[in-house]
Amino acid sequence: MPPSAPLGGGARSIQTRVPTVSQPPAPSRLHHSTKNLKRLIDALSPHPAPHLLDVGRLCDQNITWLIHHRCKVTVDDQITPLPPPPPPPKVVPAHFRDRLSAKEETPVPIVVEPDHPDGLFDAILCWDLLDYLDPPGARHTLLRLAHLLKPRGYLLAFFNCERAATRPATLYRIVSAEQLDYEPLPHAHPPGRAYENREIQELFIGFDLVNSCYLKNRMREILVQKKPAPRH
Amino acid sequence: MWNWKEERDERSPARSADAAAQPSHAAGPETHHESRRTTMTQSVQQSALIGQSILFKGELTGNEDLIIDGTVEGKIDLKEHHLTIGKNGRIKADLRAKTITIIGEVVGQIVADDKVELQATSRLQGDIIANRLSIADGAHFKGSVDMERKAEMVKPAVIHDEKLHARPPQRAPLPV
Repeated sequence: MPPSAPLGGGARSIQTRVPTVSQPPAPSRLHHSTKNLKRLIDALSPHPAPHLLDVGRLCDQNITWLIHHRCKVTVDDQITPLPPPPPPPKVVPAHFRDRLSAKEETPVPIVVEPDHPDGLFDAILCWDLLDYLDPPGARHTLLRLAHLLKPRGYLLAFFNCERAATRPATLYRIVSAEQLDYEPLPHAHPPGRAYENREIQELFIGFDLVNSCYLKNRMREILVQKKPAPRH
Repeated sequence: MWNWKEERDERSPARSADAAAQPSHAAGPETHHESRRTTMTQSVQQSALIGQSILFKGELTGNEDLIIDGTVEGKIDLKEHHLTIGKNGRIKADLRAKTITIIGEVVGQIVADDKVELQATSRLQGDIIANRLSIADGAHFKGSVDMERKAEMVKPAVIHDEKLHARPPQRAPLPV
């Protein structure tokens, strides 16, 4: 027994304070309500086996959930291959602007074009794909997605109204028709865009708005329906 | 005992290819218990291995577990067995097995009687028909998923011609 050990039996224990190592806080993973997912599922209920395209991040839980709701699911992750968002444009003094070439001033917009036959899908789950694109790229992408939809097909899109710098990339896991699990992905590059309401309205050319709602967590959910083909 | 890894590599250098394949049931941190490690090694030993330098074109069938770390083009059919596409595996084929684990790249339709597992490094382009599906973060998959349809429905349909079966084949009359 060491000389400094306390006397009086082995039952007593010495409590020592172990220095705690400060660890970075784990990213919060929260459940949030969703309004338009249920509307989408309800809208698809007349179809015997609606064909659904998911262009968001891969999630086996979502696939299983959708299949259990009688959907045929095709997944085509368009978010992960996207390049990281460009740095914010530099402020150029007015007397230097004329020296810049036109190519430098207007970068080529990133466009997402899923490779599928036209008119194949009853609905498209877009999640927050459009937050990764500039308005011209987002508009072009939505036109392409409209081609993939059947007449009067549905599209569900999310927009995060927080400033882009403060939010991480997120995986949306379906918990139920009215609840989503927001899983932050710290290693994936975050979305580079936060759209304003007017910009969102201007994006959806060729769609009729079914429902738009602004949630407490500063997410805007948009459910739109493809416009019917014009009659000649 | 402590030089287990070195001893194993000295005994059979070919087995070091097992580590490259990294099947799901063999993957794991090196701090696992010795008995668990032995069990895993046995299960990998029971699997056939197509090595990294092998290029196979055609139809591949069998009645044992298989790990493919090479290139296969055509069709793979392992009924009631486990198929692993290793890290270096490059497959352009339709796959069918009881359970399928993909770590490498696959282009083709996948039919699993039980489960399909896509690990983080996997890249799959094709449709999946399985009862269960597991996708790790980082996996790349493009295609459709069908969990309702049973695997039997994917078997090639036997053409049943009613006219053919209704009438017995007419023989020429025997000479009298």
